[in-house]
Amino acid sequence: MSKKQAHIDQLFRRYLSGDIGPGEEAELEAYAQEEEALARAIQAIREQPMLDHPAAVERIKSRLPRAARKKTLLTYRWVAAACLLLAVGTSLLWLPEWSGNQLDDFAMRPTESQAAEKAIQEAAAEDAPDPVTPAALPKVRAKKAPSLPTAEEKIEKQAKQAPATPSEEQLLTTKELGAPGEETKQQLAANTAVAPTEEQAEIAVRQVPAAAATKRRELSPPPIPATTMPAQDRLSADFTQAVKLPSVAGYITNEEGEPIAEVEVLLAGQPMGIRTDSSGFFVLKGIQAVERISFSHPNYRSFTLALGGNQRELQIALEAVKEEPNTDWMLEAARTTIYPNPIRSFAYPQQGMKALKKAIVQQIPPELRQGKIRISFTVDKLGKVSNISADENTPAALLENIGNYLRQNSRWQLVSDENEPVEVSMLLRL
Amino acid sequence: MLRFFKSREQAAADATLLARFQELPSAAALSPLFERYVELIYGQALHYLKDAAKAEDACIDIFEHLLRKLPEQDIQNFRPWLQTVVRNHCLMQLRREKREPSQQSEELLVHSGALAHLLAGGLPEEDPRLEALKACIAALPTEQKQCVRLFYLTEGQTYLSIAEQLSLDLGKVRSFIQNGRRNLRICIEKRIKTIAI
Repeated sequence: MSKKQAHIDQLFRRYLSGDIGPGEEAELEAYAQEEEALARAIQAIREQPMLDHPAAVERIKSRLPRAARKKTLLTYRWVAAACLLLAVGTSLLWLPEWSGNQLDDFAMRPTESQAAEKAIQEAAAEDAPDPVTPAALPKVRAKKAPSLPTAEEKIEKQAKQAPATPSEEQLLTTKELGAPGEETKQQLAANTAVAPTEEQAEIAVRQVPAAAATKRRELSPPPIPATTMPAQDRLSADFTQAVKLPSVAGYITNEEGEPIAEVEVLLAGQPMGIRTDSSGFFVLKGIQAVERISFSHPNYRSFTLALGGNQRELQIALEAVKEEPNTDWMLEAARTTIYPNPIRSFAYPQQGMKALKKAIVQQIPPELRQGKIRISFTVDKLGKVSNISADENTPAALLENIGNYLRQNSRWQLVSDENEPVEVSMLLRL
Repeated sequence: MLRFFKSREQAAADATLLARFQELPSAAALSPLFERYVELIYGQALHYLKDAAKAEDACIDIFEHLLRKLPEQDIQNFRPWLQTVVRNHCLMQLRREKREPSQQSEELLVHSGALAHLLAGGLPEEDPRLEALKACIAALPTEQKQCVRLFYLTEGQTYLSIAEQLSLDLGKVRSFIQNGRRNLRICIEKRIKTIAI
């Protein structure tokens, strides 16, 4: 910032506070001739001279959501204290904590930890028939009700039962997902409160999937024996790097390639799912033996995808069912197509999604054009297209035509940190 | 993280502060940059939205908008970019409220300087404008006359100092001086029929 601009800003500050004389005011006016924003600001003050503008500015400053810089040392200590507490909290989890519970619909007596232990073992033996009812939640918590050593023994026992393991993860999965609405409130509570009550500790563990810095909702069930994992997860942005759980992630976009937020991503057979964030991104971790993922949103036609073994990075375009109001998207001051998630890959055709689709459709011979088709293909890190497929009803000639065009004429860019190929699924209207 | 402990009273360039923020996006890192511009942002918002409370809210919204969007942008010139952001935000809000953005009026803007120049003796004694000026100042209502005389004809006065001297609110002083200027202009134009002020 140049000295002149700093000087101008300082002059305006003084004008606002009234600590300015006529000569300097004249100087400020001269600068205002060159800078429209300054002119507008001066005019605003003059239009309402009676308002206490300095007070307004002070109010703004005090309302800014920031950690006060004067207290940075304290902030540091808070962070350290919070980490420590998290570690303490996870061990506290194993202590009885039925008091002050927020969930009301338990399937068993909360205070009888003996019965709870029995219930756990029975549940594990039955392979947890309905993992996602609210009853599952207290079951999971009941697991933690007994004291630390016994619980760990039990968990390990259960872990050894092979069929129980996935359900274990699923239980934790749903537990982590449980009551997403409470998350935000509790996240605030967990971030600011320091008192190590058991309840807080439990809430803190529930906040494990929600990283403190971002609003992204990630599903990250920690592996059962490692009770310190939640603490790490809380601190590191991407957990999958540390633990190699198979996961599926990707972006959901509309036909134009713009992201869709709040798309519900469901695993087949489980009523609880995850939602895409504002950049259309979602991650499902710990996927084992799941074959179908479905994506649904009120404005779009639901879409189900059968996962093959290799698909890990997805990019799905959904078909709009009704008019999507995208005015806010359009009115953004600086609109870019870079998505703020560098960890995952995103494939984008060089000419743009719209132009590419237009080009494909245009070169299809008229006799092959009918209705709309959905095609899927893989884009690797070099931008090469392969593995083109469509659903069974598509005529082979059409598929070949589109496939050839894609392979030869489309140039894709893979924005990626890991160089994983992306599975793109898009809809073409012929 | 050590930079959090450094004193913020450095005259760091916009670009430096911006880079720092982009390295480690946090509200604390954005604050120095934002506070540097907060008065201007407030002024602009006030101009568009007309209401101080709304302008305050808009400033907070803009801060949050910056917190979200800034890390992703590659900005060469922060100042004009920021001004565009503020402008668009205010216009969008006006659109939501279905109000028209106000027109810029010349009258309020470019007068203090001209008057100051005139009163500071930029004219020879015989100039008719000076005559008219003197007469018009005498014709002003009392408070406006007082304020205008103090501000323009006395050395080293500021709005604050006048407010103190006359035991008035800063806002009142501003108002008197502005209205005084306007009245002077009308009066002088009536007398001479030449523009100038």
